[in-house]
Amino acid sequence: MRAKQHPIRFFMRVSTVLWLGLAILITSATAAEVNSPTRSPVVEQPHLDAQLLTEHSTVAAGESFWVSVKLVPEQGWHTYWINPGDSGLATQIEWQLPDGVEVGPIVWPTAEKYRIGPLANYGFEGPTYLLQRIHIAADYSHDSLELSNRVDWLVCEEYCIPGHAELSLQLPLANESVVATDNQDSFAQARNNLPEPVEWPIFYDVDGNTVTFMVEHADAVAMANDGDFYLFAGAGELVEHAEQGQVEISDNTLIVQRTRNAYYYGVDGDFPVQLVNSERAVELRARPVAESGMPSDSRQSSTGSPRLALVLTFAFLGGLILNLMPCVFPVLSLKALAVANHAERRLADSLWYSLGVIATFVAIAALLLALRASGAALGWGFQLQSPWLIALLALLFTAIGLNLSGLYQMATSVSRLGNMASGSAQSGARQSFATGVLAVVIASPCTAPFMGVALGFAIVQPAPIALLVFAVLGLGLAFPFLLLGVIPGAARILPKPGAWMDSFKQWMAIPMYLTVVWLLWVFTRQAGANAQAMLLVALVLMAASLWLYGRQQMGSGKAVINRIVLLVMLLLTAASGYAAIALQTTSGTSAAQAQNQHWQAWSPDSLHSAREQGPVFVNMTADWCITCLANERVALNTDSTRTLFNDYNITYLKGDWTLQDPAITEYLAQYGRNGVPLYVIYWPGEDPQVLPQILTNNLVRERIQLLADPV
Amino acid sequence: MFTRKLIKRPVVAAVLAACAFTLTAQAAEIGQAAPDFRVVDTAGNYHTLSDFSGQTVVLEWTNHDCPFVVKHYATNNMQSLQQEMTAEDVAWLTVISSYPGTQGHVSPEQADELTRSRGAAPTAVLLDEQGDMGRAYSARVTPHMYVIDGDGVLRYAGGIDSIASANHADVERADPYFANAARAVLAGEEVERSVTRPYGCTIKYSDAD
Repeated sequence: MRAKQHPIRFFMRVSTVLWLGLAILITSATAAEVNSPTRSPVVEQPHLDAQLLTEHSTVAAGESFWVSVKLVPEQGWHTYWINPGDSGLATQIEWQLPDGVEVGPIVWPTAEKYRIGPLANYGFEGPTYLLQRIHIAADYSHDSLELSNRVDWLVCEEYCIPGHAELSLQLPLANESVVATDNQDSFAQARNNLPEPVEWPIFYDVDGNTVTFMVEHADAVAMANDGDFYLFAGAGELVEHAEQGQVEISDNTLIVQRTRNAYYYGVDGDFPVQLVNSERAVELRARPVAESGMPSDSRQSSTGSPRLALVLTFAFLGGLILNLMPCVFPVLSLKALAVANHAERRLADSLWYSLGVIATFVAIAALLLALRASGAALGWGFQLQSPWLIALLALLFTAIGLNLSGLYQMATSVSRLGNMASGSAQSGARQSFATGVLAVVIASPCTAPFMGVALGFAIVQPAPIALLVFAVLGLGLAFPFLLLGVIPGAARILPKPGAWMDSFKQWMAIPMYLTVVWLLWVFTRQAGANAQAMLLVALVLMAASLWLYGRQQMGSGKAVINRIVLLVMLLLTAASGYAAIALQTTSGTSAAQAQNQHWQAWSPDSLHSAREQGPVFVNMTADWCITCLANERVALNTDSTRTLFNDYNITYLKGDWTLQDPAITEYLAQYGRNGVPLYVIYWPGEDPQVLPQILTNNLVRERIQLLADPV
Repeated sequence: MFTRKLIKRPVVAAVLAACAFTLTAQAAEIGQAAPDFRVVDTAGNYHTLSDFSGQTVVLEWTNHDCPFVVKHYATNNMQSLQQEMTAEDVAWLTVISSYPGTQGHVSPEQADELTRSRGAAPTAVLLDEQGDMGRAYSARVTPHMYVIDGDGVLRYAGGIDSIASANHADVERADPYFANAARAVLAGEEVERSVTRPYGCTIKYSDAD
């Protein structure tokens, strides 16, 4: 400094030149900043300045980068969120981009709520960054990229001014993208203003005048415990914006109820929701509640079809196993020989035979379905939830197991079968088809045990599945013949009939007994231990009857006495079976109460009889339906609702649609639903009332009290 | 049982009170009788809904400085609708609910001058300074449009058209929700969309809450 103050001439010249040079450098640098490729010029409009920024100064083909429109409204003025609220307009950005360049949606900052008299708006004050991601295709070959857009906004304080700006900037392309250092702070601030994206399950439901949001996450509950909590719904005319709404919390579920917007005209699918309190802001996507419990679309295909595939695999294997049954296998051998001997018609024969087998199985299934339909018409539904059916299946499966164990035989004559089979092992498509039909019919004494399993399964399935299962079962039975028809040498691979077949059959009894164990477990849960004891008595009596029957078949003892004893035993079996069922209603309830369970299983019958006694609350649920489970936790299995049901003597019936019980499917259809949850209140003298798909203690209480005390 | 009844009563009363409250808040409901009003016009005459019994009534909330209102007056859209409707014996009431001192508030003389200068053709311009009529109809924005049929039943409430913007060019492109509804009512037909998003500037009501 001293040198400058006291310079010699030479030095003065040199330093002047230096200073001049420095000044030029500085000026050019400032000029460069103004024309920086990473910021567009600022467009000044009334009450708002707009500018376009990019996060990178150089970008590369095949990559994505962030840009931001920066809006700076005057103090006290604001622009609007994607849902502007009662008035206002969301800011819109329309891009003009070269081919191969695409832009993503606006990533909105955390919204603020502005109250204007009885109304409210959602938007942003202060510097507002609207981030968007731009992607450059890998084959974009230009050496620069022109980014241009038109931004339209409405900026409001007390009154509003629409404005727009055309913003653009040009970026050089290189092999690698380079971060623009001069915009780092801006982008850091932009991200700081964003809500944190989260994946908490959130569903909404519109029912009458109420819109309910349900968030199943502990963090959401924690956020709602803050007084400044607010839910910003990103769908236009869905909720009233001015009110705070009712917030309810239970365990890990947050429920927000809002009044439906007076200008509501339906909302399609998903929309963004921001949950905001003084500490935290998150954004999630709300889905309609129907999607949470609907097994139809994506969920159905992901869980439903593998299950069907598994069932069909078992049906096929079951059909194959039928071939090994003692009274089927000889037929197979004879038929195989016949087929092998007629090489010229081998393929046609085997195809017709298979067709005959499959057609017969399908016919049996159709008969079964017809029976089921007429049964349903008569009011007795087939369903796994019905203790009646469970008890009958337990008896049936025990009988099947005992048959396989060799305790008794189904009346049949293997030789007759053999004759039929060889007799029909002649020629022609018709004969082959008939042989197929006969094989099924004649072999039925042997196949019946397995058919029983298939019947038991099919009886609780929807018609198309039942038909398909039986068709595949037939395919399994016919499969060895098909194989013989296609591969001539296959006959040699077939094992020879022998004693092993009996052993095999006896082994097959074990899965039957295990099935009985499972059925008894289900029955006990439904009907209680007393009823189970009676059912076990019935099983023992039936086993004894079958043992006697088996002895008769062996020809031991005096026929008349045996018959009388057998008859008495069978009557006792029936009586104890009936007693088991009769016990279930009373003991079932007491068992339920013992487990602190305040509901009973739904069935068309239980609903019918409960309605005769008084008010009924029906809950249709399924294990895979989170909304259902959450509702139960939040609003049904609560002390408040238990007391309520108790006070009003309401019978609480619960239907489980986990396995898509057709009786429940039909019931759901009555209320125009094809999924759970469904809640219906039956009040004597009133039409059934359907409740919203999201429940709260208060909602259940209010509905019931209004029904109980209509004024 | 008796005591339980007694305990329940207040709860029921509270529920009913809540319902009653929502009922008044939701007074302007499609298919229901439109709320009555008694509001002075620029000539000092009072108008009530029952005065127009047997006539289709259109209510148009306005604020001449609101860019969304400007959009429909500058493009002559509003005036031509007024002419079309009044020619069919519709009572077209333009309502100003801006509180004195706020945007859109005008004296009777200013209101008449605006009608003249813009070539507007309403049946009357109502000055609802205290916002009672606006609140009764839950009018939110300007322009906010309502159609009431000859039986006094509210048939349409909502925006003037489908494109929420202040861009004048959008008038032609938009679906004319209000005009469609009014024409349907005049033709004795069902209104296809009776509720639409009312877009525009917030009405500047008297007090903040």
